Amino acid sequence: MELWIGAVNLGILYAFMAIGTFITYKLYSFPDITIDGTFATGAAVASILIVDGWNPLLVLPVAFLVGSLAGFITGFIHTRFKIEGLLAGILVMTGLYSVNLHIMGKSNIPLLTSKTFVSILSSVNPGLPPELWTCFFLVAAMLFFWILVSLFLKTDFGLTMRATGNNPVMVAAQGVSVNRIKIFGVAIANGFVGISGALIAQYQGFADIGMGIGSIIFSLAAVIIGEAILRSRSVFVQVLGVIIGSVIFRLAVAFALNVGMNPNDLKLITAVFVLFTLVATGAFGKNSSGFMKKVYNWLRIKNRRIFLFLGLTILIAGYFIGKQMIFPSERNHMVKIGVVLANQSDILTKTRDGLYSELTRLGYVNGKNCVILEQNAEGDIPTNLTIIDHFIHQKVDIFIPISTASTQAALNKIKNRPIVFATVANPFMIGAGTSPVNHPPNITGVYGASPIKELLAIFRQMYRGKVKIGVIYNPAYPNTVSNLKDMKTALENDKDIRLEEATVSNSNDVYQAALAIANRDVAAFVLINDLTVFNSFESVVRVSKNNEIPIFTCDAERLKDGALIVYGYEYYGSGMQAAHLVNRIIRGESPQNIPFEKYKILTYGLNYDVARELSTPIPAAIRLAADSWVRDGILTRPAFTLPPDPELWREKKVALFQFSSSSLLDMSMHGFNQQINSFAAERSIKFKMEEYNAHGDFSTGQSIATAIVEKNYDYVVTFSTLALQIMASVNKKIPHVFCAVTDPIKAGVATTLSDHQQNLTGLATPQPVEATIKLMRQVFPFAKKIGMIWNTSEVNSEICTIKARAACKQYGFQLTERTITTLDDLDDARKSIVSSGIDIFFISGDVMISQVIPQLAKPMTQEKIPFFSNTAEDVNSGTFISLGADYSQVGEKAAEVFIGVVKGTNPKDIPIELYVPFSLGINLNLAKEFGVAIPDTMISAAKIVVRQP
Amino acid sequence: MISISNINKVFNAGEPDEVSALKEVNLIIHEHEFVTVIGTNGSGKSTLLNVIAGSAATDKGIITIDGTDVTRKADFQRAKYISRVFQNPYSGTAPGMTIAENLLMAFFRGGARYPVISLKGQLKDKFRTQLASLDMQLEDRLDNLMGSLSGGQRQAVTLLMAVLQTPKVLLLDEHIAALDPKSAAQIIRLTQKFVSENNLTTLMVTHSMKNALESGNRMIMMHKGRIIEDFQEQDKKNLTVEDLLSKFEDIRKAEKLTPELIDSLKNQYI
Ligand SMILES: Nc1ncnc2c1ncn2[C@@H]1O[C@H](COP(=O)(O)OP(=O)(O)O)[C@@H](O)[C@H]1O
Ligand SMILES: [Mg+2]
Repeated sequence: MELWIGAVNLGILYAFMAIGTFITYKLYSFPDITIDGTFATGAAVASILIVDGWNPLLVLPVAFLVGSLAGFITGFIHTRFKIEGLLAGILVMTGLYSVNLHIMGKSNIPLLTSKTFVSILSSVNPGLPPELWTCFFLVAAMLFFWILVSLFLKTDFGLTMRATGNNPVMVAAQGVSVNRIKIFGVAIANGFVGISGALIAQYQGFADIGMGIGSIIFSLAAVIIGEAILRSRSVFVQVLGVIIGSVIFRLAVAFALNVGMNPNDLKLITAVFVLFTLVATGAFGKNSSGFMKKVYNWLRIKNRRIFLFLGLTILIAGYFIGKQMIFPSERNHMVKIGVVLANQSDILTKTRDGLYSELTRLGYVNGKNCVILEQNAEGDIPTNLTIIDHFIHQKVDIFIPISTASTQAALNKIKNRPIVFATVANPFMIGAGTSPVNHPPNITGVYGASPIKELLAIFRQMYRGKVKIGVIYNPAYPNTVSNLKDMKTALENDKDIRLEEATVSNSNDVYQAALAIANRDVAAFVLINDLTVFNSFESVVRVSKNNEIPIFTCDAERLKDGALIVYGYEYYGSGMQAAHLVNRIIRGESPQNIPFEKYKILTYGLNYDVARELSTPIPAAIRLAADSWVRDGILTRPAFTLPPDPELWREKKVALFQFSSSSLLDMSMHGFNQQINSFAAERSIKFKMEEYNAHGDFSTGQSIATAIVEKNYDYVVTFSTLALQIMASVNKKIPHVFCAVTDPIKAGVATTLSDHQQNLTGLATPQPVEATIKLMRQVFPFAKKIGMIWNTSEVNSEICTIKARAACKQYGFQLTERTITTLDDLDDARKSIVSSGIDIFFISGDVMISQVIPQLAKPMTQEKIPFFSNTAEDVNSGTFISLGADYSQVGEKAAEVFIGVVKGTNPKDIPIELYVPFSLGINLNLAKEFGVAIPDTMISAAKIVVRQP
Repeated sequence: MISISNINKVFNAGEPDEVSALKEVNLIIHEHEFVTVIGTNGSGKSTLLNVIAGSAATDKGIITIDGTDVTRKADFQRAKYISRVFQNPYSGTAPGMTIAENLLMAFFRGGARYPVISLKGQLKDKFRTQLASLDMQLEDRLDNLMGSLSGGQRQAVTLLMAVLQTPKVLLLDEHIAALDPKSAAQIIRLTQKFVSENNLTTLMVTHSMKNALESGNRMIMMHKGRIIEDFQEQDKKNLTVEDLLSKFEDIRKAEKLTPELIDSLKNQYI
């Protein structure tokens, strides 16, 4: 659904522009191409103001005014200098490109973190899907604008505008300055286009210098579709037609993408469509005869035409919506990967090839265990957005935008699914976080700026003293600008190098720029990565050869094309690295915890052929250091391989550490294992679980913990407080999840539930001491003395005892304690405590003593002393009432925490959770013996009830 | 009302197809005069009207209307004083707009147009009564497109538009030439009616000598960019179609002579 609503939204936003075209084209028969530039101008003005802190709605009138100014100039040139409207538009559009660059200061302004109308809307969203919510607002806004424009066209002034387009001679004869009216009309039309640009920039989350290219054709298509659907003399209907036309056009684009059409073909289809519609609505209908005429006449009848279009639209929409509703469960377990490239340039296609080859190596086979969708925006910026929408609609699981523009689009559209970008020079510049580890939670990727500093160092090995170097670049590309900045920073330390710059705006300028630089007596061309320059690299090579000026560059691909020295990253490798990140995410890691990676594969290349041709001597150091070279036209380079990544393929090793055996700990481990196995099966992650048990021995425990750290386990899970403590003191790095722990704060691994040792997290399950003592009071209203034995070397036991002391005070008991450190002392302690005259015997969370419950239960029963404990299962061993936690539930819960860690959440970010699922055990036989009545509600709440067989 | 002195108009100056459309033309038209203009094809009649209306700039000379020098003013600026009807019935109206909308354009002739909606109730009623005066059953078709009207009807509406705001000068350039005889007669009748009702200063170019003689109170005859005859009211009354024909015959004969002789003849003649 998002795809279609997204298309409607785009349609409405572009409708502002289409209405502008309606004014120039339909009213004045003047297809104003200025809008290609004005659209970006509106976006540019809006984004710098928004970044500056302006209200996103207040920027709209400014965008309108600036757009109008551009239109005014076109109109002025057209009318005053009698220059063909189309030509005047081209002139202004061309000039606007530079103006837009100046307004923006750079070629791309991200608005992701700024307040836009979209973010304002989403902050008051009552819970609807965001696109739908935006849609409501846009429809309302467009309704208002529609009425406003239509009413304006009905006023005396508006009528004069329309009459001017219809018959300028007549209007002039009525005392109207045709020129002025035309200028005014073109101006407000461009004002509307400016608004459209300002809105689209906010909607897509950035402004880019390349926005708006080709707008005129799409705009015309919208106007023509509108006219075809709604034929009427009423301006209200005409303007409405334009709006609907714009929406239908965007739906058609979405449809084309949805059926797998190449968006590149879309332009041709649009052009053919516009041509066809022009022909069909014009000469063809009137002059043809026979069958076609009949068809035409049938179509001409207005209502039928509307019904036909409505019917078709409903049919198509119905088909898709229906498909989604009827077969929503067409579940596909294969992971869907959506790859989007901004254009067909070398750098991007290489990245993609690297991605695919490495994905294949990692075992992903398209169609077999994954689905890979790929689309190319062919240099058209809004198409990136539509592709992303399409991918969302296709339920793509992982998005792989290759290029800065595609990443920007993905970043803006996708908030809840993982994005792995590749080949982005500077992701921070486009708002993807502030550092490699501090970034939006759903995104990671591969990036890197050119190693220009290193390249200059190599240059310095060959040229010493005062030298000049030449650089050619197109300031329109954000990547280029950031590369140039790096270059200048690097040169700051070397005042003897002077930089000679030449800028170009397209590939045709490159030759002249190179010549100009050659004339400035430079020692070498040191070329930063720039799409425009590299598209015309041969021209630089030509100048290089004719003037014996070598080329140094950061683009490794240029080695065989005629550069002398290359030092740069392999974009193929960028794709390979991205493949690994994708793999990690598919295997369950969260992008949030995957730091952005810098490019890893580097080529240091030397072209011996060029060196000979330019008679440049190459120092031995460089000859030795180069890992790739061209000699006699043959390129030799090492194979691209990433360092093997065992991290990903090795199964995850998990150590399960239990300090001693007890039914309670066994239960929690069992619950844990069960839960983990189902997760592992679902995620196709392999876990290798290894269980360690210290059997109550501290030194064994200690050595187990050390071994776990040394064996480099991926994760540790501990059961019981002691296991936690031992492990936590030895291991400060392996992610550690603990459970069956009474109080981690007292155990010393945390100061508060959320502030704990960095590498661990887990569950706190205190024995319900207070609840148990309350229960004692309920069952034995007249009892006075409680006796407790506990092991002073167990922190947990101490904690329970302290709680028991407080609870006893609260419920009017007197507490008698006997402490032991080994089980050897148990008998004595028991005898001593029994002889002190206790009414109730209580063992709480003491691991050591819990192991010998039956030994204690028997004498207590003989002495007719009710035995309470904090493990429900103890009633099977002879206790009277035991209230504890359900440790199999605790184990399951711990597994959930563990899964979170495996998925990539850093343990330090997971607060320790207090988790006590009550579990009650009662021995009814003993109840009879003690002569107490147990209420039925309590019996039914109990998990374990012991009765006479 | 209109004073034209020493007007020259050359088209395509300096090029092989250079044409002197107006040569040293002097003409004074008084208030309430109804001047008919005749002349051979290409003699400069339309150019004269265009120069007065401002849609063609003069090369030389001064034009004043109602005492104001308008020589350097653009056509739309002169529209305050002047209204026009063209030969082509398609030129005077906007075919893609309704009759009422066209009339509205003329209603504001020479004035400002604001973004307010004036075309409603009262004004429409006014337009309706004025259309009724054309006697062409157009009063019920206010909201029909101009393009749906016949040539005669359009020319009638154009004429109505021209006098909707009483102009100081009315310029009619062969405005019946493209019409069938019946419509032409109708339009001429309407023209005479409007001119006399409003006592308009009028310049009417016509190719019909009969019309030229029957309408107006003064007549000028043009040839090769010059005014070669100027008949005041009394002389005009006595003229017949035959007289005019013989004048044309003279010119035709003269044209067989050498250019030098023609010039000398003309000089003598005027
Ligand atoms: N726009 C123009 N460009 C060049 N020549 C023109 C133009 N308008 C008129 N002419 C020439 O000027 C002369 C006078 O034309 P016009 O005033 O239209 O004559 P009339 O209306 O008397 O038939 C003709 O020779 C005509 O060809
Ligand atoms: Mg003429």
